[in-house]
Amino acid sequence: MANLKKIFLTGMPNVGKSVLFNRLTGAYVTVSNYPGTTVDISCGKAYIMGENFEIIDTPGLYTLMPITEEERVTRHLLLKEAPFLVVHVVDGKNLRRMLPLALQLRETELPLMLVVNMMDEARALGIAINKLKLEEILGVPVVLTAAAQNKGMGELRGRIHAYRRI
Amino acid sequence: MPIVEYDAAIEEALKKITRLLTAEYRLSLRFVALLLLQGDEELRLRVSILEGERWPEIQELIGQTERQYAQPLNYVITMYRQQKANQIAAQCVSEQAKGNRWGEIISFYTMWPVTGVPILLAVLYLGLYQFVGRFGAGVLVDYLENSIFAAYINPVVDQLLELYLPWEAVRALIGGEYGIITLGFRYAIAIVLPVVGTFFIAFSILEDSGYLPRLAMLTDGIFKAIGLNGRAVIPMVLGLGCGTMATMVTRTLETRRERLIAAFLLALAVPCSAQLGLIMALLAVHPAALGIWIAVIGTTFIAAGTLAARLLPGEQPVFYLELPPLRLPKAGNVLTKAYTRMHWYILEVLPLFVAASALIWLGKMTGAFRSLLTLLQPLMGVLGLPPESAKIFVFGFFRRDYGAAGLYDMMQTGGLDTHQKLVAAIILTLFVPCIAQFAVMVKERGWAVAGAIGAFIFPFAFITGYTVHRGLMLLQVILE
Amino acid sequence: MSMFTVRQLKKGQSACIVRFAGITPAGMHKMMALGLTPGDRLEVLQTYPTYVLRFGHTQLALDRRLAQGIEVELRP
Repeated sequence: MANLKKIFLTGMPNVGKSVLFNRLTGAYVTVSNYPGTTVDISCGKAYIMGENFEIIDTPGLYTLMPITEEERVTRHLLLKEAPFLVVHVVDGKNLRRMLPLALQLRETELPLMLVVNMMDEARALGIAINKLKLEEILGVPVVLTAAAQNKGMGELRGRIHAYRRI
Repeated sequence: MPIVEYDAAIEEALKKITRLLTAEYRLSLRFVALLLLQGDEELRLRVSILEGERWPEIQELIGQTERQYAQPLNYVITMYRQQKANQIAAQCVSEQAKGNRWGEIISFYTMWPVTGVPILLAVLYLGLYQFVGRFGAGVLVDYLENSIFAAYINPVVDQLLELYLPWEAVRALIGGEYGIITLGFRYAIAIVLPVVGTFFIAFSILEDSGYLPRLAMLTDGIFKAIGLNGRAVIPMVLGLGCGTMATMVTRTLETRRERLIAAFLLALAVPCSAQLGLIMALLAVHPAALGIWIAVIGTTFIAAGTLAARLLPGEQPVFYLELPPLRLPKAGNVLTKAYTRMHWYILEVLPLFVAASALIWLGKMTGAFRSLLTLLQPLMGVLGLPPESAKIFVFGFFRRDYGAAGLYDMMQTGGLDTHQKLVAAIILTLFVPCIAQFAVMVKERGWAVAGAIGAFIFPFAFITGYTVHRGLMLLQVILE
Repeated sequence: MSMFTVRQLKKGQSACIVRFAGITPAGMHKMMALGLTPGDRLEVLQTYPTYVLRFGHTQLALDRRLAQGIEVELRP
């Protein structure tokens, strides 16, 4: 797995990140301890349009200025491992609340893609999200998904495949 | 143009600080400077080392900026980001009020004590007692144990051994009373796995439905009394599945003090699912004994927790937790989660069970096992237990579930009356955290703490067992 | 317009967050990271056993001590 491109999944707790991780990676998952700490990191391989990627599921975090041990680990991972891409997952029902963390990631200038997940629940609540406008403002690719329903996953794979750092 | 623009004073400080940063940070220099202004201790330390002589100047710039605001800079910067977020949301999100009324109504009833407590009791009764206790530990164990192992595997193994292995010593390692297959595998697969498996399924259903955070909210008051907060309910409930796994999860608690108390209570008074399921299955026919067992373990939990909270210095924890919406659990998610946990569990448990069987075999060959049992026999006498019951505690030392399986085995074959079953069940529940859980405690909390916990629990379990035994005798209680 | 803390609010009342007071900077950082920001509206769904607040589509449970630290004003 050493020379595969690394994709980090980040996001706050309760955004469906682990379901998304399972959808991307399937069965080949290893859970390892982050050195020097006791936080578990899940790693898996995803085969996306002819290319294998290493997907790293980071512990949930609320801010890039760490409060908990988990958040500290996530930041360390992002700093140490040189990601090919950070796929940041947010909850479509609570976009306004989740945007500050997305903005922080944007400020880091790490290669970023935004996944607005749980769109099924958001739509059920009468919420609509203007994806193109969001892409334009944030300047990063945005994908709308409902990972639990396996919706939007094809587009996500396509955008990962097509991703080139600008 | 930066994605978030701050006011003139902050922008000025950012410009000056970024000019002083020369090391490689992997993050944009602007973001490094922002974190420095926000007061990120870890990063400040790193920058002070990396930038050396430029650090005092950076520090001076941070101080100057801080002095210009009445509020901490972290607050000011966070507010600017939130404003930008509000602006973006206003442009990109449109909303027509539509509510998920049903979810909200159910959610409310799970958290309103008047209905929440009965719902909790119903969840415990259906999930733990019926599903794990009656179905997992009763029906499934019975089937695997009697219809698979006792009927096919064990006799076949023993016969094959008889045929192909002329050496008695090697035969005893694999088959017979304590063999790797006839004892180690049988305990792991026929007795422990069905119980733990059903527990993990039940736990994953609760987890996927979003019920656990509501349970945390409902029980926050109780956990505050024992120095924890509602968050601790998650490792505690998981501890009813496997204490080892739960001790690992205590790290999600925020303070060292909370992690310590939780690890201690998990080791002492939270039975794992194998113990719980098997004890429930065995004592279910003796309601009075089951009642006493629940009362003794419950009292120990509350009393030990209260005492630990008093004795350990530290701040009262605060409780805050996001409550995700309640949703109908999805079979796929539940199975994936239960599978991941069971996978971990088997990898964790099987080698230990096999090793324990081999160790007991070695002990038997050298006579050490016998001497150990002989050594424990007077203790069994004092507790009013038959001498053979010593082996349950030797098993239990390897893993709790191993001991529970041994207890189950012994109760099945008779030889214990209800009184003795109760005393054995109490000691085994409180008894030392098994080697696996102890190892995790050492890893998470260090040798000193783990050792102290062990040194307390070991005598405490036997003293409590003895007290119950004598108490029942003195009060002349005869359990049916 | 009078100032209250969340702790003084009753079930069903809604109010605007004004500021955080009497909680540690770390506590404030946590509250803001969770999405409670001055200027936002919140509604009290429950006050016992802990407080349950709703803001946007998020529900947050928090204990009395934290509820005491959020100052709000009642605005229609």
